Amino acid sequence: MAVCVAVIGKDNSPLYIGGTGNDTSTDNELSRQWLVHTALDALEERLASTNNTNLNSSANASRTELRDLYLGLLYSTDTHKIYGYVTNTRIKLVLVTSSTSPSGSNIRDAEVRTALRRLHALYADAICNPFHLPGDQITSTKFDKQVKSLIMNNV
Amino acid sequence: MATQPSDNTEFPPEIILKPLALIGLSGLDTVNNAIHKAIWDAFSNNRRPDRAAVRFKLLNNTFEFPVVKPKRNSYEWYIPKGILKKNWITKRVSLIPAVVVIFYDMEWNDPQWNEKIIECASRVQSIRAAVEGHATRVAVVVVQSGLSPPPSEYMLGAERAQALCSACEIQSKSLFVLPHSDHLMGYIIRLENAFYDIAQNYYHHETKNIKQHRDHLNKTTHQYLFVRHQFKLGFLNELKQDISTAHKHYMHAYNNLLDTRQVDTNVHEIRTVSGYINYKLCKLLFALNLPRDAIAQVKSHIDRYKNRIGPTELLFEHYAWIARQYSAFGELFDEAIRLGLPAIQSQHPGFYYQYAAQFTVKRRQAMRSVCCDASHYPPAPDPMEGIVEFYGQRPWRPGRLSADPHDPQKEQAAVLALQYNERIFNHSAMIISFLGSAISQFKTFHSPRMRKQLVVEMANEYYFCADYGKALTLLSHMLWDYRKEKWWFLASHVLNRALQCAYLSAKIQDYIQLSVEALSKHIQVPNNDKDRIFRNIMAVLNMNIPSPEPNLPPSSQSKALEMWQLAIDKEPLTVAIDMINIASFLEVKTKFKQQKYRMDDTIEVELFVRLTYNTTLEVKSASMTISTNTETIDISITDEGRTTLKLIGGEVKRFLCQFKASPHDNGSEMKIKSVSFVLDSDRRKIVMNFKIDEIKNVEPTVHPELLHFILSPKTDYEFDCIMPLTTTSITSRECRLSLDIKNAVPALQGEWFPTTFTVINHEDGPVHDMSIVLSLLSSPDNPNPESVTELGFTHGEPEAQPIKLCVGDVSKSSSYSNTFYLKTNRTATTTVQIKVMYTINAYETPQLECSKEFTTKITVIKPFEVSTSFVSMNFKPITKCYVDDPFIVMPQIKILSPWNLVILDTELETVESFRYADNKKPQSCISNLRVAEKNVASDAICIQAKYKPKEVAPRVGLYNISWHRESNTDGHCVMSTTALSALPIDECPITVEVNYPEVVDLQTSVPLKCTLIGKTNTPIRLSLSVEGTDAYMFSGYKKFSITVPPRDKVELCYNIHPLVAGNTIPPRLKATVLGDTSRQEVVKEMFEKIFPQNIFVMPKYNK
Amino acid sequence: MADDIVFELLHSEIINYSLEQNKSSNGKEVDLSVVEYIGFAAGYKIMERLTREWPRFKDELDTMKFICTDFWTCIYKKQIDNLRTNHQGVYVLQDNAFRFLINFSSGQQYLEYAPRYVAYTCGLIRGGLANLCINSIVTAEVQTMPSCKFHIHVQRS
Repeated sequence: MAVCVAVIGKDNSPLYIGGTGNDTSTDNELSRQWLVHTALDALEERLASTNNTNLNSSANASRTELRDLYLGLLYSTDTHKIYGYVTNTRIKLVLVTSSTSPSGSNIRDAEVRTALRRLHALYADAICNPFHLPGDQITSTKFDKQVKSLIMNNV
Repeated sequence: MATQPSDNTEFPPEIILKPLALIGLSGLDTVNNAIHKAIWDAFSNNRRPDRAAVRFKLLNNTFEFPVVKPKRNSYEWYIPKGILKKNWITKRVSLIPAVVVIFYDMEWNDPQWNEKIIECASRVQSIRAAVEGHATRVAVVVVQSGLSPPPSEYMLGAERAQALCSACEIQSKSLFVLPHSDHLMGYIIRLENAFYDIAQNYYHHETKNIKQHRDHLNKTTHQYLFVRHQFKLGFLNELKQDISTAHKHYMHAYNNLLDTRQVDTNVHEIRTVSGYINYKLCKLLFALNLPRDAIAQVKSHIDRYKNRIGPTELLFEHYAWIARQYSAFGELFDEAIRLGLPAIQSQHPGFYYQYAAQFTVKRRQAMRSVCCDASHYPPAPDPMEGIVEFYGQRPWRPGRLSADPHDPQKEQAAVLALQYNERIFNHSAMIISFLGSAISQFKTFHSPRMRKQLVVEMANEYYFCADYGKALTLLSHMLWDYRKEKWWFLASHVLNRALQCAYLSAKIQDYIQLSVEALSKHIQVPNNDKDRIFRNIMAVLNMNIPSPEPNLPPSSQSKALEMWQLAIDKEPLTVAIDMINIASFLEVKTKFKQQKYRMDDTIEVELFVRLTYNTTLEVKSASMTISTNTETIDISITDEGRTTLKLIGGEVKRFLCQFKASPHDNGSEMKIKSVSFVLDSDRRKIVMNFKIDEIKNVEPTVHPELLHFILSPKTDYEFDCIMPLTTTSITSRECRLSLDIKNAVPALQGEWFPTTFTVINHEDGPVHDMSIVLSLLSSPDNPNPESVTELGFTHGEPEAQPIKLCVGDVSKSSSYSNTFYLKTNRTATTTVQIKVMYTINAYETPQLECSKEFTTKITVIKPFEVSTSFVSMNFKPITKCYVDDPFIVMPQIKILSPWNLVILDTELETVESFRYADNKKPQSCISNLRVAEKNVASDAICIQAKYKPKEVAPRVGLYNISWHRESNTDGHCVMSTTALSALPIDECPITVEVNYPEVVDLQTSVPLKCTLIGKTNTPIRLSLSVEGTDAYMFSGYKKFSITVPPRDKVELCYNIHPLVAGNTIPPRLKATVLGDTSRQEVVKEMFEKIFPQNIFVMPKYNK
Repeated sequence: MADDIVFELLHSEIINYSLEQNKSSNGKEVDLSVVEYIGFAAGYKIMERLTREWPRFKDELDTMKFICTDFWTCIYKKQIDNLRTNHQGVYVLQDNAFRFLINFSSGQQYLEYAPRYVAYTCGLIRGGLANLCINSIVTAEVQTMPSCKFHIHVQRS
């Protein structure tokens, strides 16, 4: 089970951070935000290496892999695993699973990929909401609900 | 290596240091003997990594080797008291040498050879006696001068060396000779390697000894010994520098230790020793270039031990131990990287330092939960006193292995002592140190955000240990980054903590700035209590102590209050806040109403202010700073005349600033530098300064295009949509002069074309020092007008461009006129710029400079076009002429000018090869001719060729036309010259003249005289024949031959008689050249040209 | 198909509407910026959807090829006929039968009104590229109906 998913804008500002559970206490939210925020380091490093391989045409094999929007496992800590996805529009999607819960630690890569692709689809719909200004935080409750159900059911 | 904070979990130096084979050097007197000193220095100095892995120890005469324990024959009744003895490693690395080397000065040919050999042997003997029981090897080095012995004594050396070996009872391979005179270093290196070999041999022997014990051990009582022996084997192999074997043995030791039964009394010993072995394992794995295995080892190590927490009242020891495992591994990793191991963002030492910090935090938590009662150190006897023989054992129960504490009281006192020590331990310092190490690693490995998080944690740690100043400094820096990336939740977290620090340290500047930022809509504050924060700002402004922030540590509160009491009415009395760099409750946008202003315009700047915090803010004064190239001015912002501005939460307020530019600003750019709002209580001021010119650096994240269609949620749409305009340019005052142009365009190419302009003063008063500058402007079809066009104020007199004309004063409503002339050779549009400059005394600014540029376009066309035709004397068109054969040039002048012209005169200037047929210049046929547009004037000039030029077809000449406009009567005329086209010239050996009339009457005879003139110096023979026709009768020779004499002529006479009327073909004479046929063709052409093709015959009327 | 024509009709009505809006402002110049903004917003938002199944773009040219093929097909049911570039940030996309011009008579009859019918698409391209983090200026050129050339000048900072 995913602990939290996040949508991060082109400018690295958080557009949406959603977590599971009814625990909305500040500490929980804080650790969630730290996790997602620091995941940006790994995302940026991956993107930079993607660009480098683009320059270096010799690495053709890895190139096709890096052209995948899904970047896979970014890193793992003792307690969490953090997965990344970057859209063509440089929107960054982050999914965090818990290594301590059984459903989180046994998660398969393909499941995460599917979940992040679905999140991307939800985001693509969310920005078509005429009340949403792209670049602002996503406040639509529909989006929130859909993401929450994505976290609960799918992963 | 980073020095890690110390506590009792620290690894002893003998574990950390790399083991080196120990070699004792004896017999060197380094104090008195310079040679010995040099030898010792060569051994001991400059131990670079490429030298043998040995350590040299100087043994003096009094050196004592450790006593050898008696050999145990049976382990049956032996129960070990611990795992690893503390002194074993020290003995190996610094007390028991693998080799003792005895240095002895002796030449082979020493006169006192016999005495010497005895002394040397006795020294060897005494060393042997000293190391009795150890397997330490002995070697002898004979120090010699190194001067080669005479050949006669060559054999002597070998013999005496042999003798020395037997006297000392050493093998010959243990005897070395060291010549000290030169190449000392080279000899030393070779000796060193030889000693190293001996040492390896020694350690190998030692390992064999230990292996022999193994058979005597059993798993029930000797589990500790399995660990100990394998550890020793590992260490000896390390001394031998066989690291992979060493790793194997350490691994056995580690696994054997895992199998050991663990109880509360030995848990400390087991984890201490396992920590050391793990350290060794990781270090060797890095050395074997197996970093992944090292990481896996430390991970499984922690996993295995993380649940072996031991007694709960000493839980903090467990976490302290884990923290140390991580930090030690971090150091090993860091060192490996420094030795060239590549690391990556996701795997580097920083993580391990971070874990160390995290477990130190846990350690502190454990301390807080279990040590609350340890308020004092236990009374004497101190349970911590006592000598411990084994690593990790407790001083109050050394060597006890039983699971139950044998003395519960003593045990209790000891636990109290440990708890008390833990309680007074400075955890924060340790955490900060670990975090510091981690931070620098995360910085190195491209993880700026991770680094930031750790910095915030570090700041929190400073906060917990009441170092609010340091905490505030760190937090202020981090706040910047979170704000920039718009992580407002994290920014709020940091800001609230920073605000607490600012309160607790009573730093007014920071306190106010953070409070102002806390009121921003982006920042969440505890309990959502922004009103309290606003009241606090007002309190500080009014010299009152603000109310404390929530959740402050109670211990610091009273101190903070004291500090506030001291600080509140002191400096800073003016608190300046740089608002652009913080999120705040006040937002501004500024806008020049126009992108360009004239000097006399009133400049207007609109200022929009939005207050996002729901209050009414009284701004005592506000001002805007505007800069130009030369100066910076402050303009006060007023609200309908009042200097006090009232801002209401949630509203956007607009202010208008109006001012005039100063005379120096002309032509410069004007910028809005900043806008300041001042809150003032007469005693303290808060200046909120928006540095407008720094905003541009911040890229807008939302595309402004998208803002147009966002509806209801963006209530402040209008403010967001205002595009700031912070620069404007100042240009000269608009001039109130007008210009009239009078001229008769189009101008004609080549004429001096007059244009009259009139400047009329519409200003309210006289203008002074007026000057006018004329210049030509380039245009795409006329890129360099000044090269083809001349300008002047007098007819026919060009002046250097641009032409300046000083006019002087022009009084109100009057005008000034002048005429300029322009002559151009290019038929294009010429643009003339007339720039008028003057000064005026306006009521505000005297001597105000004004200027205005007028342009007028003058189209230039050709007055006429000249085409030429060539005809023969009978007006037949010709395509070539013959030398001395006159023909007519007919220039035709087609008038293009819309104005009537008068052609005064024309002339043809022939080139060298032509001349006028009459030998003098003829009168022009079209002089003083008045022509209008589309007329064609035809001229005719008869010329003939003088000779056949060598080059082909010369131009006939230049045709000059003098003309002027009909309207122009001042006598100035224009001379236009046209080059006429070319006509080929040919030579004919004869000329033919014939008087054929144009018209003849029917039935009337006409006499014809045909003259043939020789043009060359040779006679020319021709065969002539008359080609008769039915329309004529004729008389004369029909066919005959004739010779044309050189430079003379013959005449032939005929009569022709036309028989029919109308156009007829007359009889024509044809000639064939006899002899030289090369000129046949030209002669034939000549005859063809001369004799007409047809003649009109008039009918005869009967009267 | 009927659903295609709805798009065209909506487009032309938006243009009529915006012309109506700036009727009051005198002068011959027609302000079509609102139409361009509508295009921008649409392009920006639709891009997120269209690139969802698309591998990460290799470079700018790769992105432009996407505009010419999938993007164009999605909106105009055909591809761009010709793409040219100077490899320095200028791209020229030529559509030989541009959807919004195809119903007009070819030749001169409506040529002067053609700019009105390309403004939306200019915005669409610009918005789409803006979301792909390529800032650009897009202009259109109609010389012979119904062919249209879109010039993209990439703005590098």
